[in-house]
Amino acid sequence: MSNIELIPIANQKPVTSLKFFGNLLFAGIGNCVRVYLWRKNKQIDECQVFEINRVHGIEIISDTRVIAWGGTSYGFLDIVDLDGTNFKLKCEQEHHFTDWIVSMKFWGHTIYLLSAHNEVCELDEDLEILKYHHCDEKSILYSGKLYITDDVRLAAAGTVLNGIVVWNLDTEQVIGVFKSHKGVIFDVSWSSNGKKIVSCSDDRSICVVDVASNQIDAIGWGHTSRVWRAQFLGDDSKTIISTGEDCTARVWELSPNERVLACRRTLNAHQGRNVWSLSINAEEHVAATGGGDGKVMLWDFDTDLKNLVFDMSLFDSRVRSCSVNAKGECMVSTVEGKLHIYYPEDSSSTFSGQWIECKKSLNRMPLTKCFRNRFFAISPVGDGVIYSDGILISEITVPKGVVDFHVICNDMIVVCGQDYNAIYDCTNSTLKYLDPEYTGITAACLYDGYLILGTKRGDLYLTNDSSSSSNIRAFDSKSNVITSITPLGQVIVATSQSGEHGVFAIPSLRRLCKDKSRRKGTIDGTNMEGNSIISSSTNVYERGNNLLFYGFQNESLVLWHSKYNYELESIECGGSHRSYDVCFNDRKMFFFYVRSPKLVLSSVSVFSPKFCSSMLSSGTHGREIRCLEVSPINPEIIALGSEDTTITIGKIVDGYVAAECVLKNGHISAVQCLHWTADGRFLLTGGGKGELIAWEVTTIDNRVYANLMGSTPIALDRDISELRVMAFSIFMDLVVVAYSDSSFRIWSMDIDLESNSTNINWKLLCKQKYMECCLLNIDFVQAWGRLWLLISSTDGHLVIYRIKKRGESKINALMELRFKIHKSGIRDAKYIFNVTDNEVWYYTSGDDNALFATKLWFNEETKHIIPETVFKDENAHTSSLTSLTIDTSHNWLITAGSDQKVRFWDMYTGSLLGSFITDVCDTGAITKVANKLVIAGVGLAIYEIKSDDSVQKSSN
Amino acid sequence: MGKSSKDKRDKYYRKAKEEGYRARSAYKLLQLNEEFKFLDGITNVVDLCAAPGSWSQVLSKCAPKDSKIVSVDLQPISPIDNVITIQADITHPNTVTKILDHFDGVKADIVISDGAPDVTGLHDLDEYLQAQLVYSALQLATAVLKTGGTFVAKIFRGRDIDLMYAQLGRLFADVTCAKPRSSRGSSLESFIVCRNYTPRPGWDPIELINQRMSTTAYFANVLGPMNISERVVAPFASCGDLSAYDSDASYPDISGSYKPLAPTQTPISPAYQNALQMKRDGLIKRY
Repeated sequence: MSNIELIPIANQKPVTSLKFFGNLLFAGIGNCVRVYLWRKNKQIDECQVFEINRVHGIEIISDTRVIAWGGTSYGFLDIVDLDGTNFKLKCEQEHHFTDWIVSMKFWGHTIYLLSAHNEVCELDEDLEILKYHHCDEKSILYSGKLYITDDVRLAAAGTVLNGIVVWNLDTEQVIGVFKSHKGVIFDVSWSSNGKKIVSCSDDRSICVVDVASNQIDAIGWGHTSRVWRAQFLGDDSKTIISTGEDCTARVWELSPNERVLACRRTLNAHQGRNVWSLSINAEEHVAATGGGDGKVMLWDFDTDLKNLVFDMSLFDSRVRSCSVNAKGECMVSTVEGKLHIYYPEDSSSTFSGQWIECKKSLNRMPLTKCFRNRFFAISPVGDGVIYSDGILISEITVPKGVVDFHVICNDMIVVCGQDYNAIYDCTNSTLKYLDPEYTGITAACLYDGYLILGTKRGDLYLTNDSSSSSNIRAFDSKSNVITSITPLGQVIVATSQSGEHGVFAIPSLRRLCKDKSRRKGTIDGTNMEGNSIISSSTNVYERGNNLLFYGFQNESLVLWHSKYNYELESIECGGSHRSYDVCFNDRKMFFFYVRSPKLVLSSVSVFSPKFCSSMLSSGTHGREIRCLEVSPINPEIIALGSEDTTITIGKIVDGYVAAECVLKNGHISAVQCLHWTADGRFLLTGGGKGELIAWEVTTIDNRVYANLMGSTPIALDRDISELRVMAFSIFMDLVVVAYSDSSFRIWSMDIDLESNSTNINWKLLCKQKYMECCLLNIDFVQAWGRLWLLISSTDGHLVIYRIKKRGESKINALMELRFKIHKSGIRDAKYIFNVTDNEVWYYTSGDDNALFATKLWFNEETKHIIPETVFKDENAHTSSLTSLTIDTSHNWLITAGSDQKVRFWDMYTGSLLGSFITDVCDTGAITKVANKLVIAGVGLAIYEIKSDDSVQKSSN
Repeated sequence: MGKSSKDKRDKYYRKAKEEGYRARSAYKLLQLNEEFKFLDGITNVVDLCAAPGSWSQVLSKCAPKDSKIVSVDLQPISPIDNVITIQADITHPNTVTKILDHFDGVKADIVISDGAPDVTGLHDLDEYLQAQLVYSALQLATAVLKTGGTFVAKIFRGRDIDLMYAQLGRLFADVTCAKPRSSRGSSLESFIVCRNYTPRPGWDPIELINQRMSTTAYFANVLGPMNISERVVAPFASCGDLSAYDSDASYPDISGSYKPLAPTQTPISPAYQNALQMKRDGLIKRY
């Protein structure tokens, strides 16, 4: 074997364990332990503790020592204080137990280990085994926790079928078997006094049991899928946090009289399926959750949410309109035209303050708006005022018939009348009429000298003084009313009532991306009146500002992070409101709304004062990554496609993939394959429902955007509801797509470039069917002066078609060759064209554990292709070879299998050059970028490849 | 998606209902037997983790007429012609006796198991639990199998499967990993076909069932520790004719006039049944 080394540099995998310890938070991610200073949003260090096993649990031993376990492995980690502010993790030797470790506990000088066969093992501090404890209940455990004090040593074991078994380590007697759940017990935790346990299960419920009295205290229902974790929040055993397969974390409160757990809060932050891990910092009232998506989130259970309720009888008549500014001051207009302003005594506390009626009143039914700290009010008849700090700054007079208005800067207003639209300049009381084309204006903003308007039809208009203008239909959906326009660097973000948002270039208004504001599946009964704000807070994963959205969802106003898709705040307000206003300052959100017969002013800190950022780690996809490819024009940019139906375009920075954009609005089922066009301008993605989607990828301001260009029109002739795109290949303007019904189609992709939009016209040139079996790989290959199709499928055969063009609109594919290679499905295939020998080398990796290299050459006399097996290894891996990649610069063939091995082979001789273990499960795709190897599956890992020649190069 | 759409999508699912099988997994056993012919000439057969009973149905059809079929599961199994069903725990020592009683003390020719745990999505845990189930089935199998007998079980072809191949190789002369065409290529599921059972001195299945040591530890204790180099790859066999339906392929939808067939047997009550009912009653809201 030659000298190849794989050095892990990035780790974005499911978070399988979390543990708070004072200011530190330990996270088990893959086979590594990562440690954060959670308050400062700072990752201190990461250390690989096990060869392959995942870290499923972490227990504190001392101020400088923790023990981690997972699978059958366990081992110590030391926290080395370098200089008082910098720390490092130092990992000791990995130890193996004879069974799966369910949990560990440290007490006194002893380490206790609970195994999956319901056995407790005592170890001393040098990890010498001292003693075993058993009980009569021999069952496989999914979960379990030990409660150890000087007085009592108990185990609570969560079994597969037999409920929770609580037993005493000293007497080895079973104290109780609690069968309140139906199904597997996925977690069980002790209260701090050891009197109660909380458990969660397959049956989707949470249960609190009083161990001493052998009674069920309460059961909680609310998770919509299996529940993975449940723990008590504090010492009183009254509050419980749970996490589950429904991607939520939930806060429960025990109501002692009703014997039920009431779900008080639902925390939405993770994507995909599972929130695997949970840790609670009881002193700080903070919890951390870690998901299958690799995200680590912090939650503050102390909220400074204040609801100030005013009775409408304070005012002379019914409230017409209400506004709030960044100081928490509010303006109310009444039906009769009176204006009232509320002044809180200081901006930090809105609880005391007073209402003052403005001296100046207007005609009936005035509307109010706020811009920065100024309040604007205009009545339908056209009289209006501007107030700032309680002072009447100016009076407004505009033509009558005012329907709505939008403040675009401190002293300019877009007035929308019944039969006119105009800009009113408050400094000189002038009115400039706008093009009558701009009707139904619902949002406006002024940016860099451009006026940008949004309409109720979903159109955006841009205009400036020098008569340049552009427009675009921004949203096409049913409720496409544009609700906000926000500048963001050299682009604008517009939101629609249907919950979509789009990013548009200035001044062309070219659409750069459009997306649902929240990912499908995390929202129930979408009725988003989306708005966007740019917060001033930054975090390490995001250069520049965070883009936050707010809108109504069911009974609440919710505020969430657009890119990382987590909820920052949810304020119960009874549903969406006709009359409301929202304003932010650097810390707080103010939400002022009419909830007849009351007015409510809610104020809440958007970001917790306890920590810098809610998100400690951004993670990647919540389900398996199926495909990936690096941009041909920028090796830093990588596209990932996932089982979770989304695509991420990310940048590889500092050893992890930072999401630039997550494409949620394209595929409706799993993404199977993706490729860039040669110029890097378009990304094509294939998935379920026969969809092949093209995305236009643009970089502006060093940010990457991708805009949905549409799908091949396969839906029209589809009689197979389960049709999946399995693979495709691009050659010039031709795209050949392989489907799961054994058919393939060749399309031509005509790109039509216009000033502010690009269109792709798909033309079907060829449709053919191989057999009945599912196609798995397809490639256009140009060789021997012709174009060929190389196809491999679940039947283990390579099939070659000769491509013949018949005029402009038709292509014929003639079967040239069918050659059996594998016993079972060919999971991946790659080829090279060897110019010197005029040969194609086709490499295949199979479900049958085998790796084959097949040489193809063209017999000029017979005019046929001759296949020949050059080398094979029928036991290349111990299970399916899921993917392979070729590195021609080193003559390497690199394979990955479901045995979690990565192997390097000489691509010409087939000799094994190196074999490595990866902790990425279900490996779906691998690729090599420069000297890095990216492996994706359940999460992803990036390794630096060091080999003899790279060592030589660096020494030269 | 309702039942009817799965009916339309999944060829094997529909075929199972048409042919009266309780689950599509029946075809996995049929295709395995097509390749290995392990049901030819047998007299005593045991089906472990048998509920809802589709493999037992195949045994009932394909095993020789006078053969004795015993099916074991913790869950009740609805009656099947010519099949003796036992509701029992396969890890309990008494179960061995119960089975052998039905065979009048004669040992079994073949033991099969299609058992799988509820998968969580944590691959390492799922593979561990599947392995434990195979070991439990193996313990029982070696307690009831005759010398030269066959053991067939579902496995997850994950990262530690080579260790299991090596362990099984110490008790069976011939170990093959088989993948029926009716098992989806994208899943880790495969079947281990272990032929020619060769009892080893020191390997005492009854002792193993009675004590609490893990099977891996028992293997190490009795047969010596397993070296990494001893981990082997079992030969791979693809089962089922290429003309059989491909479980990864999509087939044209059945036209609109098609009426979905009722399931042969409704599923046993799932753990989340209560939660579903409460959701239907409006007691659980999504948010």
